[in-house]
Amino acid sequence: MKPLRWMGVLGIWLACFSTVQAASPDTETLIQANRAYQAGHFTEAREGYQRLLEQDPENGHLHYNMGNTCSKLGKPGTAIWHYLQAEAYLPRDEDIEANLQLVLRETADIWDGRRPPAAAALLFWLEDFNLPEHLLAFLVLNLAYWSISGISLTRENEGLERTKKIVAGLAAVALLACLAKGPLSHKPPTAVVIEKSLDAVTAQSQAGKVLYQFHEGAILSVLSESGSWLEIELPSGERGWVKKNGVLL
Amino acid sequence: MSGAITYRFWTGCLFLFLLSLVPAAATATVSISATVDRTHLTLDDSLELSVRINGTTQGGSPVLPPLPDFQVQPAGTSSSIQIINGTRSASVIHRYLLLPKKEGTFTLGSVQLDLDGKHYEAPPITITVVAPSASLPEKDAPIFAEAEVSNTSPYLQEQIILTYRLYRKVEIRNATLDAPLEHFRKVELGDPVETSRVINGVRYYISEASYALFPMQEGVLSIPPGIFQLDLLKQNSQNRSPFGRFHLPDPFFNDPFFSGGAALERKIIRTQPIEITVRPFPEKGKPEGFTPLTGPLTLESELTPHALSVGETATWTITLKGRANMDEVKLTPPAAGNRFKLYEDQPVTEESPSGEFLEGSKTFKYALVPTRPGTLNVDAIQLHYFDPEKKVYKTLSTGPLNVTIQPGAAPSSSLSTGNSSATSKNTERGASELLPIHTQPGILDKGIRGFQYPEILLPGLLLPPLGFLIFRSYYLKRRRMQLDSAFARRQNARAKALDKLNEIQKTPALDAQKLAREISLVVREYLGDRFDFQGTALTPGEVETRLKRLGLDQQHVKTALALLEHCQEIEYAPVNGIDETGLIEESSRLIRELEGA
Repeated sequence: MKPLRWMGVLGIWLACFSTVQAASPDTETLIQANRAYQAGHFTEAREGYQRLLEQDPENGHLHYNMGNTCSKLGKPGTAIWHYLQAEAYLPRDEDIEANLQLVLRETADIWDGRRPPAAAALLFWLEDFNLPEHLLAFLVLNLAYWSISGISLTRENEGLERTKKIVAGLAAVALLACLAKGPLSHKPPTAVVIEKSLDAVTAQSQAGKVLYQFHEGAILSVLSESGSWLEIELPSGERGWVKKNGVLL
Repeated sequence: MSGAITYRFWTGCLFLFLLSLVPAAATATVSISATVDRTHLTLDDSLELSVRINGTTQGGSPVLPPLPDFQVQPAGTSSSIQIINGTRSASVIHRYLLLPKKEGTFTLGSVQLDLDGKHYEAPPITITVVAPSASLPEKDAPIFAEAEVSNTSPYLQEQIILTYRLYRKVEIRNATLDAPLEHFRKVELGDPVETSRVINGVRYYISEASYALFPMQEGVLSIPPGIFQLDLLKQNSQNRSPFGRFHLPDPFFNDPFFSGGAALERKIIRTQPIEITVRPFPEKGKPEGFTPLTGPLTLESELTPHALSVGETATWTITLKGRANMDEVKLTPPAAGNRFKLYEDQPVTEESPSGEFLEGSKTFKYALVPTRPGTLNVDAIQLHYFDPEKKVYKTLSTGPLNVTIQPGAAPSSSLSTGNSSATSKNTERGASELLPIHTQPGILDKGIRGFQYPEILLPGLLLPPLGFLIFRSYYLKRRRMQLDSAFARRQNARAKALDKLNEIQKTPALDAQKLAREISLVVREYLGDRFDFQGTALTPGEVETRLKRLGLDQQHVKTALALLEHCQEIEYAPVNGIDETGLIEESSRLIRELEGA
């Protein structure tokens, strides 16, 4: 009888929990946005995803769905920007990369000016994980190191000492990766052109000589920022200035 | 001159003013009639249908009945207004040119008109179309046409040439050719060519239009008659050129438009239909996965540059040339593995007449990006086709690519940032559709995204070393207590003494002597444990000596000595009414003070 009673209690609890889940306004908004997308009502889908992103701007899945929606709405620049955001939060998601490349290939410039950070040459896995994942790895290794240190107090064992040194080394590398990905990252921010065409000029003025004309969807590496202008790297390797309101940062 | 123009202008204005004064009631009767310029005609002739609407120049167009046996072409509209004896009559005529499609007797249904809510109908007309009279050159016809194909039994998709020729010994205007075709891909072989030829002693001028045809279906196919529509130029005998009938090539003097008296007669000239038998591909020797394609074809393959580093882009160009139907030429690129990426460009097709055939080329371009250093082997691309001359299947191949890839750090090309699996996903689905949105449950969960925030990061960072330090301290103390008995006694002295004092306090009916002895024993034992000597066997005086030797504070020594002597007095010189609780509290206080010493 007792197990039955407990199962009943568990059932009621689960029912309540699922009711709470179903009633969640965010989940409802997501379901409606997904349905709108699948029915071809892309404007409605975009509004739904936009509402959700305002509450959770670091959700890679929402950025990905938003990218798809913008692409369907004929806004490749905005779509590419959302795919880049999605990739930052879900760096190993193949769907994002595939759709990003697909949309990029349909742009006029097919220009991807992103450059991997210099640290990626040494820390080859740096771009395959996001910052929280790097931090989690470091915290786990940190915990492992101190735990092994504690155990090694109670028993003298050469293998244990060796393991402790290896874990210490790994923790140091993980910390380095965290720093390279986070506060010490020298990776230039990227901007995506959202205007049909955008002139890159020699100086921070419309009177500057036009060096290059980018088109919607081109991904630019931003070198510096000054007022309403961004200094960017041109495909030729030169530097030029573009108006900030022509891109999404 | 300008005075004459002014005069005509004012006369016109006055005429229009007078016209407007004519009562509208006089124009109220509306009627419709339909007439044809002939009721008997041949397939080479055309028919003019005139629909006249009397009583108005306004209103919509008449509605023609269905005319499936004729090709209908609008031939213009004219309107007229007449005023006779003050009565205005208006009419509009809609003309149509009807080109018969076949022989027989046909009834042109009623032409209808809806105007101002009223319905009008013209009576039907019966037309007879007969076969054209002999149009062979032997009969000395002034104009005739023929169609010819280069091969009446081609293989599927084999190129054949269809030529339409219009022979004429009279002048024509506005000639057009309608050559409808089904089940063929048709490509025009340049502009029509003008030549001349003598047939039975008569010089005919020939307009020749050629098409390259690719049959897209097996079996017996029909090439329907080509239809030339033209205006035959007729001259009035009174206005003949002084140069007689030798009108060509001297259009200036002989052209009736210059000599006057020109008349145009609309004419339809048809070629004979042609039947061709399209042969299927033989089963013998058919390669596996063969898709219909008939040669001849040649293939060229080129990779530039040939020296590559990781991340650099090479262009692999494959060009196919020949007389094949280039629309159907498709290549299957090798699957990109983890050693390289392959991006396909839109193929470029070019076709142009060469000699009497259509020669084409189709260029496929692939951007090849190696992702790893070492030797890169890319499988050959093969293409099978059927050679109709030798009646065998042939295979073209690019040959495998073997390229040495140098290591390189360049994340160079614009497309090099994608990972290979993502690219292969694109290749699998033809690089044309977006992958679907993410709908799996839990995509709103935050997961480990909170790890970068200080409230989680700092405890995660600091708690493990803190835990370690606490554990280390505990462990080392515990181990010393196991190994160092003096330390263990010292560590336990206070707790042990206080426990014993509690027990004494709880023991009922203990007399004063016994109580003092027990307390003295507890204190001396504590002092012995605390300062590492055998305290229970010592007198108060010996205890004082030991404590002084250890450098203990004088006040503490005095207090301890006073307590022990007090206990000794009670033990050996008993008195009544001692304060038991006070003695125990005094002992406890001494122990606590000495703990801090």
